[in-house]
Formats: sequence, C-alpha cells, structure tokens
Amino acid sequence: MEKRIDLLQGTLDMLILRTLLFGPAHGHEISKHIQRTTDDVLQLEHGSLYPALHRLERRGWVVAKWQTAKDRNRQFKYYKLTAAGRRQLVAEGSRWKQLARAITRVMWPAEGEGD
Amino acid sequence: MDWRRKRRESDLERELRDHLDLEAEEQQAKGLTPEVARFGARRALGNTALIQEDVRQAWGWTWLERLGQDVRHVVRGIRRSPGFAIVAVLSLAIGIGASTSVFTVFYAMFLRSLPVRDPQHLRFLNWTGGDNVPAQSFSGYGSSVNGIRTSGSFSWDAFQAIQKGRTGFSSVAGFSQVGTNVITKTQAWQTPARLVSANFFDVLGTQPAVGRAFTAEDDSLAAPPTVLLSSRMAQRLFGSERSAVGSPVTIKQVSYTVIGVLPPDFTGLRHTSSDDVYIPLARAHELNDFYRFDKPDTWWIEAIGRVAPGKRDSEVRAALDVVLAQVATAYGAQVKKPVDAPKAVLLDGRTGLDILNTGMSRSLVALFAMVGLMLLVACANVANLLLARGGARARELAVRLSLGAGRMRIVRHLLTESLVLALAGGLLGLLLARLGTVLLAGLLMQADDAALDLKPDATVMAFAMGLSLVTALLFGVLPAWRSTGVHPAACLRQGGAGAGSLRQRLAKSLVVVQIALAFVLVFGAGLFARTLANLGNVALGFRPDKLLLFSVDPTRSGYKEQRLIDVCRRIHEGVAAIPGVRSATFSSIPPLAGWMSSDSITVPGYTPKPGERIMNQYIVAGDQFLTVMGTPILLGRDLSAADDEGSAKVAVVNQTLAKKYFTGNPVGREFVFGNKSGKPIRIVGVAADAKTFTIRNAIDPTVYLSYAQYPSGLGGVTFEVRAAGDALSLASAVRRAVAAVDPTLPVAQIRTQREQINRILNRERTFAFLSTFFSAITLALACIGIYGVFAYAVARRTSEFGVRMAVGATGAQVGWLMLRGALVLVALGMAIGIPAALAVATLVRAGLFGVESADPSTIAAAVAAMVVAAGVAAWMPARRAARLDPVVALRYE
Repeated sequence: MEKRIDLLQGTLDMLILRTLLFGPAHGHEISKHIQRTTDDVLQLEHGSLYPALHRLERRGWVVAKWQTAKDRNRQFKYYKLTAAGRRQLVAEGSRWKQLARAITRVMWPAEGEGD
Repeated sequence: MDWRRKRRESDLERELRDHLDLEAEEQQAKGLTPEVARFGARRALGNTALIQEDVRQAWGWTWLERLGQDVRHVVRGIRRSPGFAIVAVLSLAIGIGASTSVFTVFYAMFLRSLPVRDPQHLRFLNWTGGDNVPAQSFSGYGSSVNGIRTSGSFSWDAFQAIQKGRTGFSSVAGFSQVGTNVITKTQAWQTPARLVSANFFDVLGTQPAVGRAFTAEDDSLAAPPTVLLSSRMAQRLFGSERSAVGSPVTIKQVSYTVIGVLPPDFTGLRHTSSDDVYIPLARAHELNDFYRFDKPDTWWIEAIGRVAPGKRDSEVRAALDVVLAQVATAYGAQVKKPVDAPKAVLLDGRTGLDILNTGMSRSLVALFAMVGLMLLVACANVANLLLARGGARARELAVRLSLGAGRMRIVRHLLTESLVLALAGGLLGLLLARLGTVLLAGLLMQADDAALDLKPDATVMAFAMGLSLVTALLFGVLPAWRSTGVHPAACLRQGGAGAGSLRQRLAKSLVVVQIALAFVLVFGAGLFARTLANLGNVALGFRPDKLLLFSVDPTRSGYKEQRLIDVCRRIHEGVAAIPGVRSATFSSIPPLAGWMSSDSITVPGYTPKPGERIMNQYIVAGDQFLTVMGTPILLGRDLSAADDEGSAKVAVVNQTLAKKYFTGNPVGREFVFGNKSGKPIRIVGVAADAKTFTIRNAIDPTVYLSYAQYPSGLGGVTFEVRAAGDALSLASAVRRAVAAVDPTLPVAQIRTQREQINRILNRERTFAFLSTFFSAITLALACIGIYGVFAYAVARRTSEFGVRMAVGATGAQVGWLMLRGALVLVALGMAIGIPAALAVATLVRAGLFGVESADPSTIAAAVAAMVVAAGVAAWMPARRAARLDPVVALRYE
C-alpha cells in the first residue's frame, strides 16, 4: 500500500485524455490501462473515473458512443477524444511538464540544471 | 427534457454494471469464485449510489433545465386547480390587453418615426415673439399666450433667408396647406393639398414609389403644372399607382400632370391624417389669395430642416436667430417702424407633426391612467388568489422546507408560477389588444383620417411582455415571500392554518386597495358620463333632427364673386326642389363643427372698454337660414332672397349681440362690419341665441350676413337640408342636384346634423364609454377579490361559526358578521378612495361640463355603486355562513 500515490487533483483528467490518444476505450479499459502503465503505482479509484469521464464529456473534450466490443458480442460505452480534447491534452501536458520541472529544480537543484 | 435525463440515468447504470461485470470476469480469471470476484469488483468500484450522485453533479443542472423543472411543476399545479389559473390569467389578460391597446395607439400616433431616412435629424422650425414681430397675419398652427405668440409659419422673405443662410441645417424645405377640388375625367374630390418647395421630399428623406419627385424647374409658375399623389389618392382616382403617373388632374381650372406617387406607408407629415396631394410651392398664390410672396407681413410658409451632421440644436437656433433678426431689421426699415425679431424654436421632427395634437396625447395619457388603475386592481386580485393558494399549500411548502429545500429555491419556484401566469396573461392580452387597438382607433379617429399602423411590432411586443414581467413582480413577490416565511414545524403542527390570520390581514389590505382604486375609476366614469349627458341636454337653439348637411367648396374650383353667388343660388334651388326636402339653406360655417369665423364690428354709440377687442362671430348664410334651422326670430325678420347683390346691406344678429351693444330694439339700427371704412349694415332682425361653434362654449355675439351681399365670406359652403323623412336617404339625390349645376364640383362630408354633433362630442363620448367600461371591469375584479377573501374566511372560520351557532347565534347573525366585515373593508377603501378620486378629478376638470370635479351627487352615486357591488360579492359567502348546520360545522376539519 505504501508505494501507491494518490492522484493529484486534476491530473486524472489528463491521464484519461492521454489514454484515449491510443483510440476509443470504455471505462474499464481506461482504468486498467492507467493502472498497468504506471505499474500499479497510481491506484485509480474506479469510483472517481466515471464522474471524471462525464465531466470531460460535458466539456466537449471527449464524446461517448455505445459500440459493440471487438472481442465479444456486447455493447459498451466507448469514449473518444475530440479535437478540443486533443488541444486540452497538449495544454495540460505542457503545464504539467512545467510544474514538474519547477518542482524538480527546487527539490534537486544539481540534477535539475542538467535537464 | 425529461426523457433525456431519464435516458442519461439508465445509460449511467448500464455503464457501471458493465464495469462491474468486466472487473468480476477479470478477477474470476485470476481464479476467484464468482461470488468473491463479484464482491471484489464491487469493492474496487466503491459505492455506486455515491458515484451516480457524483456523476449527476458532473452533468450539472443548466438554468434552463431548472426553469423547465419549475415550469413543469407550475403547469402541473395549475392543472390541479384550473379555476384559479383561469381567473388569474383572465384578469391579467384584460388589464394587459387594455394597457397594450392604449399604448399601441399612442405609439402609432406619437412615438413611431416617420417612414423616412434618418428621421431623428428632422426639425420643424417655429418662432416665438410678441405683438411687434412682423407677422401681422399668419396661417398654419399658432398660439398666443399672454401676448407671446408661437407659430410655425414664416413669410416668403424669412423662409428664403433661412433656406439660403448659414443656419446649421444641411437643407430646409418649405410647405403649406391649401384646400383643393381635385378633378379627373370621372371623379371629383375635395381634399387638402400640401404646397411644397421642390426639395421637400429630399429634405424629408423619401422618394416617390412610382414616377419622380419635383425638381427645381417644377417649382415655378412658368413650368408646366405638376402634382404628386399619395398612394391612396392615386388608387382612388386612377385605380393604381402606375396608371396615375402621366395622367392629368384639374385643380382650380388648371390642368396638372401627375408625375409621381409616394410609397403606401408614407402618409405625409402626420401619422393620423394623410397628405394626399402635393403641389409646387410656386403655385401657392394661384390657389389661395392669402398666400403672398410679396408681403413680408404675411407669414404662411412652414419649414422643416435636416440638421447637418455634428451640429447641435442650440447652434442651429442661435444661427436662425441671427437670420430672423436680419429679416426683421429689413422689414422695419421698409415700414419705418420699430419691430421685434422673433426667436427660433426647433421642434423634433422625428415623429412628424402629430406632436402638436396635445389634446389627443392628453386624452390617451388619461386613458392610460385608467387602464393602469385597472391593471393594478387585477394585480391585487391575482396577489390575493396567490395568497389564498399559499394558504392552501402551506403544508406542502412546509414539508418541502423541512426536507431541506432552500427558501430562495421555493421563492423562485413560486415566482416562476407568477411569471407563467403573467406571461399567459400577457400573450392573451396581446390577442385582446389586436381587437382593442382597432376599437380604440375607431373611437378616436375620423372617417377620412389615415389608417394608423397598429401592427404589434417589436416595441409593442416588448411593452406587453415587459408589462407582464412587472405585473408578475407586483403580484408575485409578496405572496411568495409570505408563503415561505412560515416556520415549517409550527405550520405542520397546526395543520396548515398557522399563518392564516396574518395572511388574511394582508388579503384584506389588498382588497381595501382594490376598492380604493376601483372607486377612483367609478367616480371618474360618473363624471364623464354626466359630462356627456349634460352636453346632450344643452339647449342648442335650433332643431338638429332630420337635418342633412353636406359641403361643397366652389372657390376651390375657381368660382368667385358673382359666379360664386350664382352657383350657391342654383345649388340651393336644385336641392330645395328634391322631393322629400321640406326646406333648405346654406351657410359659411357648418353648425357645431368646432370652428368659427370672427371679425370686428363698430357700433355707433358703443364705446369699447380700454383693450376690448370687439370680435364677433359671423356667419354668411343663405336666405331663410334661421327659419330652416329652427331658430326663432324674436324681432324683425329672417334673411330673405330679396337681400341680394343689388339691395341695401342687411344683417340679422343674435340676442347676445343685441343685448351687448344695444339698448331697446336694435332692428333698424346700423353697425359697420370689419373694416371701419366699410358701409353701414342695417339690422333687420334679432334671432334667439343658438349654438354654432361648439356645445361647450358660451354663445358669442353673432352676425348673420346675406351670402349675396358678402360672397367674400363664402369659402366652403355647407348646405342644411331639412328632410320630411329620413335625412340620410336624400344623400344621392343631393349629389345629383349638385352635379346638375356643376358635375366637377365635389360633394364632401354628407352627414346628418346629429352625426356632426356626435363628431364634435367624440372625445367626450369616447371617455364616457371607455371610463364606464373600464370601471365596470375594475369593479368586477374588485368584487372577485372581496368574494375570494370572504369565501376563504368562511371556510377558515367554519368551526368557530359552529360554536357560535351551538351557543345560540342565529344564521342571520353569523351572516351579518361576514357582511359587516365586507362593509368595513368598503368603508376603509372609501376613506382612501374618496380623497384620491377628488385629487385625480381636479386633473380632468377642464374636460368636464356642467358638473364640478367634486360633485357631491356623483360621489354619492359612486359610493352607492361600491357598497352594492361589495355587498353582492360578500353576500354569497355570508349566506353560506348563515346556512351552516352547527353540527356539521363543529365536525369540520
């Protein structure tokens, strides 16, 4: 449990958008993907995923559609990145990078310089 | 909107279920039993109800959805008690409809811009000054108050100086008015015409729809005569605008060519009347002797200018003052007399010349005040209904409040209810106003006036909707605040009757206000009705029954002097010979038309007091005028056919004149009429006083002169025809008789004397009718209010009455208790209403006739009307209280 880090406020949206860059996905796929790619470091509260998805949908960054899954004969609600969502991802990514760089510079001045 | 949200909810449920299924599958794949896997999946996801709540928050409620929810709620509530909604919406619709009708007519007359380019830059030029201003005689509108004259007309010299001077106007046009007979091959119309300078339409900013406007070349006596027509006149004369252009018309024996027709929406300089014929200004003198280009003391040209961009009115005025001063100085040098220069006044020209009709605008403002009072009473009614409903719904609201609904949320909900009612009332009111505007315009306008543009455009819509919103606030806020101000627990405990007594007191105050407002209207209606009745009862001094009037104006067709005398004589003979005509005569002034001619007389032996102007009314009349009219000849004789061109000049005078200037019998005495150097006129008869100018005004000293001896006094001639039977049935025979004398002479304004009287009493009749109508509705609304309050009181106090009756009170006593309550409210309402009504009545004092603004009998009648109406309204609930069965009443609740 110790190695798990709580998600920073707002970063979940960015992670979801980033995940959807690979193509449309439904809620379960998104949560699995985030968990897998962070080696389970980021423990995603499944419960917080859905409000986030609906929030993104309302803002127009993703659109949702009921579609049949490729591997089985069942419809799931697939989320897809929109052009606006793509722009939002770029903006949020660069902001995050700036923040990370600033924090790094404060925390580890020597390492930061070489960056 | 509902189904969308439902679908979203089911989507979310399904999405979460999918997630759980997939997670469980995954866990199962790791080797867990189905139950454990399912449980694990649930635990990983967390509380689904909470997630759903979070997601809903993410969806958010748009204000529109919230409004939709409120509206749905309201509509559901209204459907549950449609009686309430119908009464509320109808009272509001009547109030808003009546207000919108008055506004629409006012707007069409006084606020709508002329249909021309940039009307906001137009200004009418006026001047103001004392007696020494060189305008010795002037035409056009004008007024004189305490020696300060104001007028809108200028001399030719002054107009040219203004037109050519540096005044800050980019352009100035001149215009005047002249009566014409416009004659085509098949028709003849008597119509006023506008004399206009060549640039008139340029300055005004409009162009003919067909053909062309005047050029500078047209505005000359040397040029071929040209004329422009209104669209309506073109259609009357030639059937269409196109066929009018190029056609000839004859005006005063000169043939004019129609060169253009104006657009249909352009009615000239006024909305209320139509300028139908336009003639170049150069022809003014030809058409009317008074209009002189060579007399600097005759002021007859009105002017309209377009202010140059960036110029302020004050700059223009200052520049005009300089120009007018130069003109006055030049005139002073010419006549070798000191003269004053007039000061320029600019009138806003955006809406045209109707702004001068202050009588009409005041009438409409008064009507507006009436319908405003009516609307207020309607608002009080709806507020009362809402209060009562709030009482009935106290329990529901208390439950909602205690379940955590915010007060604002509930107030908003209640206000939404008011808005829905008000908007429904407003929309229905707009429909009613379509009818109301037509009726109102019909009451206020005369037959040949321009058709007002009464379409409900954006401004009218905005007015009606704005009024709805204001009414919603007026009647909605108080009950909404009141209903939510209760303590939920206390209210629930008391079974919803908790705040009853305070609510009842509020409701009663509203009823008192309603009674007070209704009283103001009822009293006003009483005053106007009595004014009309008094005017109808005035002794006219002649017999108006079975009298047909019609007008011809031979001078507009070029008749003058001997030919004028002859044509009048021949028409008179022709008309008198029509079967069914008892007798006929004619006069220069139609009896009771609202206008008169006056001139000075000099009576030997009578010394005027200092400053007294011996102005007297004169009527140039045909023979037997007074006999035909039914005015008794008291002394001497009537004018006769023998008083012709060749015989000695004679006159009949009325009794007022005889009393004022003569002692004893004036028959045989002489006086000089008009110009002092004129020949003396011998009085041959004294007639009884008769009303000729208006019914209201006192009878002036009047001189009746023979037409054959004063043809110069004949302009338009009105024939009076006494019929044996129905007067109007003679109309076509009269037309034929005139056509037999001169087929190109138009016959105008065929009407009976009664119609003529109705026409000058039009405003009084309109006011009496509308104020009675409005006050009846207001009284009915106030009665609904009284009924509502007491019906509610009876319902609330049923068990109390049961107790009273059980201990010995009779039904009559209980009923009287209720009735007495109503009378107390009426008394309170009067205590406010009577002083208010008396104060308001002083504002309309000028419009009253034969009745004081504080007339005691009218007050008594209005009080009686209120007491009876309130008594009837309270009677029904009181009777219900009186007939209560004490046993049933005690078990009530």
